[in-house]
Amino acid sequence: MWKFILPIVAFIALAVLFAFGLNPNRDIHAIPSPLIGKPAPLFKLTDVSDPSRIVSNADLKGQVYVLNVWGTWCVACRQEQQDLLTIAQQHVVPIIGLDYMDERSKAQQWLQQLGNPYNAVAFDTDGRTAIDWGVYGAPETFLVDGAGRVIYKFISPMTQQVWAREFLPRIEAARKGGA
Amino acid sequence: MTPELGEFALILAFVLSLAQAFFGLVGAGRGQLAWMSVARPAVSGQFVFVVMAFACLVYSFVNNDFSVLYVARNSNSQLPVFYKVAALWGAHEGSLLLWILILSVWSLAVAAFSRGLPITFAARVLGVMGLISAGFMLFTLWTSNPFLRLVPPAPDGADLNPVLQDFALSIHPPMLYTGYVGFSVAFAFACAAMLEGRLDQAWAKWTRPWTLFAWLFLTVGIALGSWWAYYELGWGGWWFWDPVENASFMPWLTGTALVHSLSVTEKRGIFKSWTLLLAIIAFSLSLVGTFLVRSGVLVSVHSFATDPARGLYILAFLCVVIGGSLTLYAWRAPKLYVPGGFQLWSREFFLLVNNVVLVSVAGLVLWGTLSPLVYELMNIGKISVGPPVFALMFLVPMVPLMAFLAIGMHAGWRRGTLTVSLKLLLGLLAVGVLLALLVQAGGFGALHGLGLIGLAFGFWIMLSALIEPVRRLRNRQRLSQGMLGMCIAHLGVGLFAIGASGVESYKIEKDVALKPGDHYVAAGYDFHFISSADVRGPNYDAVEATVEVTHKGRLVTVLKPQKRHFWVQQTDNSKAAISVGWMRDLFVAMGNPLGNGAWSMRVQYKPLVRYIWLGALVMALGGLIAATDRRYRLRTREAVVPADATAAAGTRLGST
Amino acid sequence: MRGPALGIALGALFALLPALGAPAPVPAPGPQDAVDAYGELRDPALERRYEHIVAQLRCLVCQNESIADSNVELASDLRRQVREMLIAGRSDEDIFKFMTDRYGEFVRFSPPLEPKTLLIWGAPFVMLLLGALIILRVVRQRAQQPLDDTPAAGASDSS
Repeated sequence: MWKFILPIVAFIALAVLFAFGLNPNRDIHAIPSPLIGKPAPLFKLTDVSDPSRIVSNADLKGQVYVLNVWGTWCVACRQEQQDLLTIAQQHVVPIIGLDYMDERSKAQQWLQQLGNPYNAVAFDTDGRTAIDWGVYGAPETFLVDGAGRVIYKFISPMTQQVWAREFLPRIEAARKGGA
Repeated sequence: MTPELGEFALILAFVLSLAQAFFGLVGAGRGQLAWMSVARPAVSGQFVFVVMAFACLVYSFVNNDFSVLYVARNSNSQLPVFYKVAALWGAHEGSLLLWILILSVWSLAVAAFSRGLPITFAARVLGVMGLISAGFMLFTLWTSNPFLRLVPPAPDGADLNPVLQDFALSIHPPMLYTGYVGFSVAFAFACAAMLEGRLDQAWAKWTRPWTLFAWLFLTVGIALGSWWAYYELGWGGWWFWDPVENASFMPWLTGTALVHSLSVTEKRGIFKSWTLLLAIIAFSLSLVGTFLVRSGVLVSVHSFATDPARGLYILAFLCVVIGGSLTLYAWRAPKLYVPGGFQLWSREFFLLVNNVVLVSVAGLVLWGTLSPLVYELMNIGKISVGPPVFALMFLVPMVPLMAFLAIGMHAGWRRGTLTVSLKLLLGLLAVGVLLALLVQAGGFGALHGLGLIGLAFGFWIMLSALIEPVRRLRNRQRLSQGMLGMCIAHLGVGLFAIGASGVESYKIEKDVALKPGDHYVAAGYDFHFISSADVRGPNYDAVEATVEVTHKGRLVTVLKPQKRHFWVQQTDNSKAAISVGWMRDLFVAMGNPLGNGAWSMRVQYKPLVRYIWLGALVMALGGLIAATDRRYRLRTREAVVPADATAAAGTRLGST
Repeated sequence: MRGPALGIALGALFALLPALGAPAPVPAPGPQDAVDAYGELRDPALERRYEHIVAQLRCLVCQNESIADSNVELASDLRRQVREMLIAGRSDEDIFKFMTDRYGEFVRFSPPLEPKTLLIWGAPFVMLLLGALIILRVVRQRAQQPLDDTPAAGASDSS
């Protein structure tokens, strides 16, 4: 007798699974970052506008900072530029840019045309730094605490709402935590 | 005006399908002949309006009406006319309209060819199909309207995705949908039987040809998709176990099981609940596939633009259709058991094994596709299930099944006796092994364990499938279409196995950096990159490379792959150049430019790959031949048609 | 940590024949030039390991292709990374760990064989067992029933 009820029971389980899958808060493309809680990878790269200048996050030790990964090829990065500028004007934390898979001249043009929200922009010539940070698509934004640990990663264009909702509370907590 | 006309026509069709559903089902339930006779005309009416709606959308595409949002998103004035029509089903809304069109064609066919069926039964079948039509039409009108306007109209369209601008694209979805939707007929037959409270051998005979037709279209549709991916996507792969591919494979597996199970029910009157369940599941899996592709639940290169709101509707639809039919099943199926004995190694036994294996594989593929979602739900983490897992899920049950197939084809009903001698079969197996060894040693110079099994079994199945036709031809005995179709279909299975084993065991795929003048050698073929040049196409610019291929000094072919840049969408697409051969394909696709005229290229040697699709086509041909067997033809009237409504009422639940 | 099951599946899909022909004449020799002019590794054993590894790593941009198949830049960057690590003498395990440390478990195309994934890797064999049991049960039941040698009735017989 039970074997005739099995199919409908199996379907109910399937329907529940699908209902869960439809949850709008799910991001099917999101891949949890294994870097959370781990030390941020150190990099020492050249500045995108001035190849003789070095940009390194070793200099930021002791500070809470944000690393924003972008490229001129990335359409979504264009979207977040405005919001980043507004956020930068609040001068909450240093915002370091990591420009990858790109050309210097294009990047310089971009910053001139659209504005520069970054304290400094590191140019990832060969993509190795991006790999070290587990970057797989731009834009991606990391939050690093004063002890040099990655505490948050956000994938998607940055907006002011996200900044207020996800980043500000964490920045405050990190600062209180002592750094 | 035209889009509004189209939308209005769709609304009318929706109303008519509701009428079809209501009068068909309620009429049958009440034994009201007058109501039941509304069903057929409703189908015809619905068909007319659906065709109108479809024609209106085609008109908008062909006439570059960019005031229609869907056209503006998927077409472009520079798109060749052929692709403007095909663009209609290139995205979600339009493909739904295609689904609806195909469903109304099937409904019309059922209405036309069901005059030999008992009236109440036919009314119920059409009623169920009406429900399904109505569901899809409501979905389209409510959440996915292709006739929406864009104000102000776009100056030009966003163009069809370059990857989709291809001949196989134009046919792949219609074929595939004809298959998916066709299973709704078997589903409707199953529901009608459950509502009626009885299912007999006549039912199986009625259902089988419809199922065979749907099955063969699905086979062709899947084969086209695979072939297209192979040459269009530039990777040279023919199956990726992508969730959407799996969504088409699962109905195929259960559909194949259904076709076989129907023959047992038709012949012996047993396995009724198996067959019933398979008829429900095959179509249910088609619907689940629809859900997976359009709801955004899973990541896939094939997914349509995602929208959880649409997903919610489809889920509700699934609950009604699948939940409803499976509840009916739980209620009615227990009474269907018929005692009927058979021995070990009888045909029934082999077909039982076939059922179990095919359903297992379908279940495993479903599990493989959904397990990442399950793991995420249970918070175990984000795992990924890739091709190696699916390969295991496929091969572990299938390899033994191949052996069962080679023998089972000749099993007799009821008793464990074969119609050919076991010695002959084992002898043919030996021949198969020998051929496999020859192919491996002679063709490729090295043995490969699993490949050997695949090739040997493939040859064995082909030889085994030929025994009966050859014998009958020799003795000038009649060979029924049913038997011929079966033999040809199984021949196709063998061909497929040979192709798949050959290519997967011996393929060579290399990513190499080549500059003009370089030679690269793979499998004895010398690929000589001569030069590259700029060319222009109807809606793209491209760099075309010229690659000369020689074998032992003799020129084999000149390949000209292209890296295309499409003006409108500003995207790049790599167009592979393929040299097709009976024994192998040679494949060159361009990757990224490396500067100074050098290019990274993907060079591939694909032995026996064509037999994959040839095998599938032969399977479909076998299905076609079997489906048109005389015993299914319209003129045969073995079912008693009740003369009046009272008699119709008598065939209701009372007989249980 | 891969089981024999994975080996079979991989063998079926990814076993490759060493290139039957020798690579064509190659330019400037360099003692540390482990990569030839085509960008391939000279050492056939390394090349085989390379092919095996890149087929096992997921391209996170397209997400359903391996980095071997994908054309995007991230994939070619990662392929280059794998090549360099192979030349530097790192083991397959090291390379996979490098990737999962940065991208998480999801970058592996197949789940590693561990207790929590047994449900997946073991599924085919469980199904085989279940299927065999079902078949056995039905066969035993049916073998005891009369064989019904009367010709199959074409008309209806009720349930």
